[in-house]
Amino acid sequence: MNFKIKIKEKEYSIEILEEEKDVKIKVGDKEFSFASSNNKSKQSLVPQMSIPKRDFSKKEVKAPIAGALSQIFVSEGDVVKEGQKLFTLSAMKMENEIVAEKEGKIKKILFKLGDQVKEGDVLITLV
Amino acid sequence: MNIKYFESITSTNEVARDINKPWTVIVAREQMGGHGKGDAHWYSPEGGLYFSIILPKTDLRNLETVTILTAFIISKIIKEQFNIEPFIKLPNDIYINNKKVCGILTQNVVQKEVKHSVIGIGLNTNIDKFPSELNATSLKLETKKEIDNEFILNLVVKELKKQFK
Repeated sequence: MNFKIKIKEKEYSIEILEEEKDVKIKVGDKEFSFASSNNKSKQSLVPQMSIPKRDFSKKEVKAPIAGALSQIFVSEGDVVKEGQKLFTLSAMKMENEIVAEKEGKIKKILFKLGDQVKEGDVLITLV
Repeated sequence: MNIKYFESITSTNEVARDINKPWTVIVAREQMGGHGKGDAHWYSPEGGLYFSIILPKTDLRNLETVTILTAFIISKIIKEQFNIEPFIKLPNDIYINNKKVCGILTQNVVQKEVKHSVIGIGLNTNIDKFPSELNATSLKLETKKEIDNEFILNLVVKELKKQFK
């Protein structure tokens, strides 16, 4: 299907094509491909071995996606429960409410309201 | 299709938060607190089509794609059903003759992985009049015809489901 969209008074021609499981979007002469379903097979790089697990990720909360910190629900020193709302990250297309994976005490909040964060940025550290 | 109808609620996305079954659709006759991104209010009187769809669990990348595609899906329906040329103002607003006709907002709850995901759509269908400060229009104003909300709702859900196959 074909469309025209207008961004800041400039018009673009858009074409959407479906090819097998992928969706292709053509903007002018540029082509973007999206997988419409999660068809990446899960890879296991290392055979299952009894390596002791040391999960440092529990001690920090990272941004799962780039966006603006539009709401912060907690303060340093707060004790949070699993599933408790921590903050909202607003991306162009979505609002993402990030909730606590584990319970813990918030040691430091490294960004402030309105900040733009990148995917993977550490937002909160926990004790 | 599992459709839950409500008379008057704060917002369909709000009600959808407590529902986990994918493809459940929440429809409101009117919304008291309909909103776009942030605190932007969405004028939601009776007559419009306001609904939210619980999406199957997938990753945030897919959800971004789905959100953009929904704007294309609705534009396509407007174009094909009513022979109107809509404009998509990225990321998620649809305009007809420079007036807003549709807004889309995806809201996710993320805890390591996406735990809950809902896409909310506000489409101005049978609205006869807008406050003058809103630069908005409706399909009824543009086509001079009554719009079948349920028919449009079904088309949107059907097309969106295709994206998850």
